[in-house]
Amino acid sequence: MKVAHKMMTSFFLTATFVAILGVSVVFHVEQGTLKTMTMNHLSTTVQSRGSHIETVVDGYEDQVATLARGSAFRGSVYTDNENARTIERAGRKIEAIIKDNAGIVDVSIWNKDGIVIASSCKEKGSNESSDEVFRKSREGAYAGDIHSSAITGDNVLSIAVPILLKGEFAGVAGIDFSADEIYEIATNTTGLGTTGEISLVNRNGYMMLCSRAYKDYKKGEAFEVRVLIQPMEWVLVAGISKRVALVPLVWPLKLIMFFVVLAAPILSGLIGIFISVPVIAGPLLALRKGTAIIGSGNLDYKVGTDAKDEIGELSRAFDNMTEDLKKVLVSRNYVDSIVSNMADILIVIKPDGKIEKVNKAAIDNLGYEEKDLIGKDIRILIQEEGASLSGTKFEKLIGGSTVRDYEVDFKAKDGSKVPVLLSGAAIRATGCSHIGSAEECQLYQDKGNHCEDILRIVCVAKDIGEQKKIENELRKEKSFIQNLVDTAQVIILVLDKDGSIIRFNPYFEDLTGYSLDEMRGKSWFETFLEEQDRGFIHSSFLQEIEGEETKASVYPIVLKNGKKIYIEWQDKRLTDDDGSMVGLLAVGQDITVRRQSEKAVAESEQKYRALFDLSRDAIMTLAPPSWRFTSANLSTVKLFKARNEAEFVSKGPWEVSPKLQPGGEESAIKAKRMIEKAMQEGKSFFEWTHMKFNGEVFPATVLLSKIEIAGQTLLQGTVRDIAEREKAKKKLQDKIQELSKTTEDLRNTQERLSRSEKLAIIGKLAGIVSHELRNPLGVIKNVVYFLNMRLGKEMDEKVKKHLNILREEINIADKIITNILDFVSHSKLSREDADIGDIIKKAIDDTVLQENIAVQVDLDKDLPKVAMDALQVRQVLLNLIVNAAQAMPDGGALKIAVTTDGEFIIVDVSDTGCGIEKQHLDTIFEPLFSTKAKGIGLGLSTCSTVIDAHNGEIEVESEVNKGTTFVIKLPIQKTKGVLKHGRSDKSIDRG
Amino acid sequence: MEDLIKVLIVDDDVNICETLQDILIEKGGYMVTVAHSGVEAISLAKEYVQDMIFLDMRLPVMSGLEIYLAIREFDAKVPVIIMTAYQFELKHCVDEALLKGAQACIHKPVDAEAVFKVLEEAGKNRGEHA
Repeated sequence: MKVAHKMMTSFFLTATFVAILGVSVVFHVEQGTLKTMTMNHLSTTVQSRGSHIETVVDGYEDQVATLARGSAFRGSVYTDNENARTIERAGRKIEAIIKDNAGIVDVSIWNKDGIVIASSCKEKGSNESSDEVFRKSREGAYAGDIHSSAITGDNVLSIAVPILLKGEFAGVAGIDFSADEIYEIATNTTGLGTTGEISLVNRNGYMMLCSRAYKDYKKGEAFEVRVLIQPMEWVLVAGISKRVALVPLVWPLKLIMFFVVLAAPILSGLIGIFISVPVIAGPLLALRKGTAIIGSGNLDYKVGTDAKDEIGELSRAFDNMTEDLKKVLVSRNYVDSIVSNMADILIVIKPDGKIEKVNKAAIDNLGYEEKDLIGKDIRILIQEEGASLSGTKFEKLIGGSTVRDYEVDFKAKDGSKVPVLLSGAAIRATGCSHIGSAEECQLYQDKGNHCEDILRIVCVAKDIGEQKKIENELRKEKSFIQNLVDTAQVIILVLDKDGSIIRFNPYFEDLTGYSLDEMRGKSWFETFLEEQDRGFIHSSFLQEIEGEETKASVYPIVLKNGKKIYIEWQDKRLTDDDGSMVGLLAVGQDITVRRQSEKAVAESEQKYRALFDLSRDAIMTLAPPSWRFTSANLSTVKLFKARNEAEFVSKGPWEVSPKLQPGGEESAIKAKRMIEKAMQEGKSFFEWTHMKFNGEVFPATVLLSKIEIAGQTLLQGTVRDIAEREKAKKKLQDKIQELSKTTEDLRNTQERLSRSEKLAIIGKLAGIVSHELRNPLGVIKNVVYFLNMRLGKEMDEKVKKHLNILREEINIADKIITNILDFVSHSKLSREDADIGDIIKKAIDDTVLQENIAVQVDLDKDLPKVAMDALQVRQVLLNLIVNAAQAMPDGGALKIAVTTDGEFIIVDVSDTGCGIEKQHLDTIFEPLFSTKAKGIGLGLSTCSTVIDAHNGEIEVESEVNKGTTFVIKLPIQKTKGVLKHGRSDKSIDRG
Repeated sequence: MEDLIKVLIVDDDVNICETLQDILIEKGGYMVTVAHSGVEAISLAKEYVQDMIFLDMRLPVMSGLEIYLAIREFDAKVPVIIMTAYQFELKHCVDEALLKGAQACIHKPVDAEAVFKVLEEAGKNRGEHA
């Protein structure tokens, strides 16, 4: 039943109940009120009646008491004889009373023994001592119950009062009153309605009087009031039938009930519509709807409301529950979306190998429709029909083993192979944990699945066709890249964040001489950079790591062999997938050559610029299309007397010319013509009349040449002022002559200087060496001497010969040393006047000449003495003589002739020896020139030096195989002092 | 014995000393002692009066001149022949020694003949001096 109904019903019931309750409350209250009223009424009635009766009875008692006290009666109870009269009297009284009182039925007197002594009705002398009235009245006034008189049959009330004689009980006076009065009082039901009933009941409950208006009153409930009437202990009971009493309520009640019965459904209906539905049913319905949705697997559905009531709380609790469930369970939507959206093929296989379910990917990738696969054996996807799976992983999979990454080919619908990576596992029954056979398992009993039974096999197959293709491609790509890296003729270098070397390519290995193995992990900066570069490059490296864009940079690196080469670098940050830096890729070009060529180009540009700027010709450039000047060198500015280049530039050639050229042609036109000619033919050379900025007109030659600079075609113009040319030419020529003379002199001097420098060094060295050699040589000489002494006459020929050889060789060595030393020690000459003849003689004496050489000395008469270093000159002559002798091993003639020409003394030393070849004649005075096997070649050089130092000359004439003549000229100067060394001042005279 | 001419040769080069010594001994008539340092030379000269001292000018530790002057302190007569290797260097030493009474100088390398020549001269002089 719906909540609304429930609510309505409950409201209805509640309302009804409430109504009923209300009504009954009202009813009861009313009833109570009524009852109270009734009871009050009754009570009042009864009370009044009762007291009335009491009053009546009291009255009767009084009556009786009066009688009892009366003499009549008292007198009657005397026991003596006179009693009869009293009794008669009493009797008459009694008759009187009865006659006078209609209400009195009987009057009786009893004596103390209870014998009736007088009575209106009773028999005299009857013993009524046991009578209740008598007995009870012995103690006091007694009112007996109303009873039906035995005599008359009327209802009577007996009242008896004791008669006292002298205070002692003497008898009883009793009257039976008619109960009618009381009856009248008691049974008056006025005001009690038709059902009112009054009854008088004695102390034993015996009804004495009753109104008995309503016969059946005892059958229904009644309101009763009782009042006790003393001293008789009677109860006067008045009652009214409840039903009748409540009648005033009934109709109003019925009305109320009617309205309630009418209103309750309406109200409950209203409540149902306006309250229960929106407030309760609605949310509950929503909750119900929610459960349906959630139950269907959509755990994301929210039912929660903001309502503060319990339903709201419930709904929110619901949501919490679904949230919790979500965490624990997987909602069906979620699972469904996974299964349908997953890129991989999902197949669920039943334990018998039949396909139960496939996902969208399976259908898409394999080309089948769902109906082609569901229910079919899994084999259709794998192999040819009929082929067995035994031994394959598939068999294992279906058998319950877990298979991972099994490479297999699925068969698509069109027969093509789809390579996949298959993984699968079995879903097993769970829920029981018993150990034992299936029959012992309760779960098996219940569901037919034993624990661990395979329920389903779930396979996921990843289509790796693409992947394989990609792998292949990657492999190809990788080897291609590897090839690139290996063969590229550029540096490929990878550094890590700290600047340590991760790797570099073979080209770099070859370039630097370092192998990757020895360099991996080492610091780039420390190894390859020069110290002064490290700081700067390191900081720019750090900037690159931070992500700053870098421009190409150039800096040198040091190779293993210490050489420095220049590299142009392009760097790129290497980042991994989340963007953090892994390292730096640097590609470098060896630009050492380029730099050099750039330098060369820059230099050549500089040179050109220099030439351009410094050229004495006026050079300018003209550019199309306007053919105005775009640049002009200093000479141009000067020539045209412009203030500066800026003033000259941007003028056209016709603007620095008179309007007309000689011949009458307009400058502007002719200029254009010449320009076009130059452009077409490459150059044009012509005469032109220019005008300087000051108006001065001058003739010039113009050479226009087509040039290309930086891809632009320009014309270069060279202007020469012809008028100045000749003047300048002559001037120049003179200057050139002067200059070349000076240059020559300078060069000679330079030569001489460097030569003499060289010689000085060599000489010094030679001198030192020779000196040192002298000592051991001396010792050897002495040893030979000693041996000669010791061996003396007993020497055999061979020994003698050998000792001689020793001595000779020693002499030769000594001579060589002497030569060197002489050559070296030409620095200081001491000049003294000496006779050349003496010197010659001495020289000849010093030499041991072969016998087959004829020596002839011719001295002129009156030879003047010449200032000279005699020793050194002697040495010179010695040298020449020795040379001459050596040139004539087979003998010949040595002639020394001395003459004078007034200025010089001329000494000729000639021989008839083998002569000197023409080509050697120029060089024989050079040091270290020798044709001799045993000579160093310093002899003639020394001679030359010595003669030079004397400001003399030494020359040679020779003819091969005929003879040689050395000619020495010594100036006749009688000056004393020390000459300078070297030949530095001779060159000018030589001229 | 008395006729033996006592010669002292002072040079730091052992071979020069010994060859000269052997030559003189072989010649006969000489008693030759050698010294290789200034100190040795001075002590020998002190102990045995020499007829002739051949003194090398270029010695380590004490220079030739120092040795000459030292000897001259206790022997003013003994003829000293100085042996000089260089021609121009040490010339001033040579000059000074000569000034101070050195007999002569001969150039190194000293050959035997030069030595004999000098001794002859000296012998003549000795004859005169004695």
